Amino acid sequence: MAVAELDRESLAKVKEESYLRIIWTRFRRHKLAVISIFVLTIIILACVLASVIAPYNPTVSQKDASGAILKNAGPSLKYFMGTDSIGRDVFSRLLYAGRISLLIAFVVTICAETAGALIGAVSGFFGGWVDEVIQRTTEFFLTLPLLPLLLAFSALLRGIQIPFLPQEWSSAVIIAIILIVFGWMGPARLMRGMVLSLRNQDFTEAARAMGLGNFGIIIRHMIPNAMAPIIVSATLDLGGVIIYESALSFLGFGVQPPVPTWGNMLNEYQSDMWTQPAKVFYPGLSIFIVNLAFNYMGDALRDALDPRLKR
Amino acid sequence: MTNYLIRRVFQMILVVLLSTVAIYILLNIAPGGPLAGLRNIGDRRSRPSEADMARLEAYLGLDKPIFLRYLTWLIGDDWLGADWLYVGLGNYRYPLLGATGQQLVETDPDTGAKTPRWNYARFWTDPSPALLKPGYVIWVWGKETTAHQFSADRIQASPPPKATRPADLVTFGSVVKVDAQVITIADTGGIKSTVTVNQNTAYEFPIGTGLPRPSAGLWLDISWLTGDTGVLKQYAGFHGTNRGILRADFGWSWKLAAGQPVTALLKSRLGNTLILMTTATVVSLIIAIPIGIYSGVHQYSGTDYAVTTFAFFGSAMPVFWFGLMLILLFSYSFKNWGLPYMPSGGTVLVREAQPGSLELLLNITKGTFVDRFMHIILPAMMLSLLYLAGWSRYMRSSMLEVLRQDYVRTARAKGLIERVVIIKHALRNALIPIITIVVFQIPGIFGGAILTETVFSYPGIGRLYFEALNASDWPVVMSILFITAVLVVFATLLGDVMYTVVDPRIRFK
Repeated sequence: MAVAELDRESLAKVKEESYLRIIWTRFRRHKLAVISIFVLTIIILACVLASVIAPYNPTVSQKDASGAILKNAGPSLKYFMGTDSIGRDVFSRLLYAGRISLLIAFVVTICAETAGALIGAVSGFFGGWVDEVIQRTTEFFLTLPLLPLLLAFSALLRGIQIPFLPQEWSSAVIIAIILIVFGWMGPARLMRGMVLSLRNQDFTEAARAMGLGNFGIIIRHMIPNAMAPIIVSATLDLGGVIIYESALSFLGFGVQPPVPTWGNMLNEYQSDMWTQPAKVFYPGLSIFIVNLAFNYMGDALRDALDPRLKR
Repeated sequence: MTNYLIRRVFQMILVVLLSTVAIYILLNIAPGGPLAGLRNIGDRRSRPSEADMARLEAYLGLDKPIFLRYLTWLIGDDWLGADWLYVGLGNYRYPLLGATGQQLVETDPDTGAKTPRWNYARFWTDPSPALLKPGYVIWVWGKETTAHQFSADRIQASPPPKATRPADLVTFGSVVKVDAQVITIADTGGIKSTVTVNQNTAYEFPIGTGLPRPSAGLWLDISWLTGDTGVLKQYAGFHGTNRGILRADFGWSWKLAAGQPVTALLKSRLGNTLILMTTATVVSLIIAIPIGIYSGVHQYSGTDYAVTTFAFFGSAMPVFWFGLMLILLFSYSFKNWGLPYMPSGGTVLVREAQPGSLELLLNITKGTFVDRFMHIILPAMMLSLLYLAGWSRYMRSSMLEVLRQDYVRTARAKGLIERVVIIKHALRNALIPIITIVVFQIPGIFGGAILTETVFSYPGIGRLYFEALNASDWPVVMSILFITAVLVVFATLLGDVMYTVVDPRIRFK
């Protein structure tokens, strides 16, 4: 008498759902995050393809039919966000600005998260005095007042020219470095916490028994296993980096004109806010939307990657 | 608890010292030093010459070795070159003497009452010829033994008043060389003469105190450190006036208000920032806590969704842009629409209220409290947005956490009405983490104040910081950074201590 015999044939046909697929299914439940992905894709594509999409050169003053420079033109079909005080097309500048702002955000986040993850992993894995030193350093960095310090550093390094780089890129690179230097603490703490719980598990012991060295274990086992929270924090940090970069540029200590970023565009347009109010609107709105989208995505990713947090 | 506090205070001191090192490195990280901006002035005529730069560097103390510069920035340079430290409350007081040796008096112009004038000193330098450095101009009293050979009774480094020039003043000139007992000086014509000093020679230098050390008071010998034979003997005789940031002397502003002490500059701006920060904190708390409680209690209700969405938007909002939008709406658009519009910057009305403005409508006089209040509304709105968003989120999740606890269920089971359960049992426990977070974040509000005060041209510390950075006025920048670092460290300690006070379950070891 067959007791609920399992049908081998049909079991084999059931496809095992891949990990990514499961995550995507969970991620999709967060409707706003899905919308965010759409919006972000459009914005990022538009910015990356700025040289194709942008109707005009962002650094060249536009001229009207009579050859006079078209200063502070209002929105029109030709220049649909108008032109600025020296006649440059605002829409083109906005696209190119997004390219720099997003590039800085991605570079800074990737570098800071990688550095933070490595530091945190080393700290948690080795413990002892290494951990002690790294933890005290992290705490010290976290104590420092962030925005005033960022401002002071950028102000000091404002005029510096990095060799072998086009002059207009120098300030962007410097800002990126400063933001990395002050951005590694969050992921470091996160990674340390994860590694502390991972290092005593059986698979670590197994890896060691198989002859893997300390750094091998960290790279092959610790970091991949602790990746989920790092990805979430990276997504959330992307928005933060954009805010900090634009705050610095807005105050005039970030990326220097003529290279446009959303922050320094706000700074430029702030001065003719009383005559051209609409122009102040666009760069700030871009920062806001991008930051909001990254936040929603981070939220949804957190829910998707960590089912325990799900209600 | 006491042990914990002591340990924490030590940690605090260490962190503050470390951050002073960090801040000082900051100043010296720029290639070419803090004066690089002056060297790079494009216009040849306004660029200072090398001699000017050297003099400027000497004036700002930049010619000293870096560890000493850091040390003098930290604890001042009035001890430098001193032989004795006065141990006592306050400074040592000694009479201020005139050229003829009598104590000077001050006459009150109204009553005619005479009060003696005093000098105050914490550090004392024993008079000795080693204090004289080549280049100092000295005036010598005494006898001429042979031609160009003098024996000195008294050497002074400041010119005597012409009218009372004493008869026994024999010579003056700039010091060329100092040997043990013989000083070579050269007069304006370049003619050299030698001055021999002896045990009884009196000295009066503005650099040291010149007089013999008084026997009264308790004096600690520090000549092993900075005296003629001390570790830092090359600074013997140098007696600065700077007391260092640890003793609340923040030095002098270089550019923003050249010639003014930074302390005065900070004082003039501090009140405005405190008003702004207090208003923003209070407003945020008053709004954030009730809406946090409401959306925690009514989880997943329509209001809850509205609040969480608002909090999400608020924390994603670039605050500086939000500030600009506030100006655009309440000042610019209201003016265009003929509505009473708000002031867009400053602390009080500069001119009379303009037609159509809210001030004119309410008939506000310049400089009154209401006038100040009008000017603080928009900046406070901008500054509180971020904290409002964050704190209402914290309050909500803290409330949710507490409402799940057993003691809340017990309270309900006892038959208490819901309002009592929420206010007496849930809220009091839910407030604990909020208090800590608020205390931790208060120094951080200063970061927001930089942006707010810049957007609204509000003359506070934040704007001062921004202006100082723009003008490369490093003493001001470093002072503000230092004060902020101290505040952050202090707030962290305060937050931790308050945590134990409001939550008796937590005990620190």
